[in-house]
Amino acid sequence: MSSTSQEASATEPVLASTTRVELDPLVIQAAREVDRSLLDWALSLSPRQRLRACSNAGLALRRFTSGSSRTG
Amino acid sequence: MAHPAQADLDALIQSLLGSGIEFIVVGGAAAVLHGAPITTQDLDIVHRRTNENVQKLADLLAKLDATFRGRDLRPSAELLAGRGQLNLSTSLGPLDPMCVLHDGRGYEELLPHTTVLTDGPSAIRVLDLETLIAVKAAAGRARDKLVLPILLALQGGSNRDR
Repeated sequence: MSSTSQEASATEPVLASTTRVELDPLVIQAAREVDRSLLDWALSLSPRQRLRACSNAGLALRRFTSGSSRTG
Repeated sequence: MAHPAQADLDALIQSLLGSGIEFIVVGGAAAVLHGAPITTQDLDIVHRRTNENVQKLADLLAKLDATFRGRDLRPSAELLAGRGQLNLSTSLGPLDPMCVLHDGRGYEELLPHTTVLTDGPSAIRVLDLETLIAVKAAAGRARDKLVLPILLALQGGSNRDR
């Protein structure tokens, strides 16, 4: 893959391996700005723990958006 | 009794595995399994469409009281053996068995592009990260685009760590 050294980033191996897919430049830029701390947290979990965390977060979001929480 | 709107992803996958069903996790749950800290309401799977596997899936769906979402209609083995996507409501939340992906690839075609994640005795077959990125990028929907940066960052991280 040809690229300038300025563009070198963690996403470039993906761009090399994800063949025949046009990626929006904004998406590529956003990938460079992803906060890795949350990724590191998710990766510290086992696959089943990740599933459970996702379902629990979804339930919490649903409660929040349905306004079922009490504000006193 | 009303079915939950949020899928219990772990329980659904354990039910599928426990029933001996061959399937590939795709969609948002695949992203979650790869470590994307996102939420998804449903479980998308591509199941193998052999007669035996379709029957096992149909039996499990009956056990989970599956109906098409918003309709009092139950899925049939014939539909599971076809080429469509079934958007189902179950007692463990939304489950979408897909006979083929939007690009027409079914279980057999996707199999070389999967990886198996193990967690204790559970072995979960999931679309590999590279293919998931390609599928999400090709889908072009806003919600797919939103998760792409995270998947790319995950892929970049895993390549960098090798």
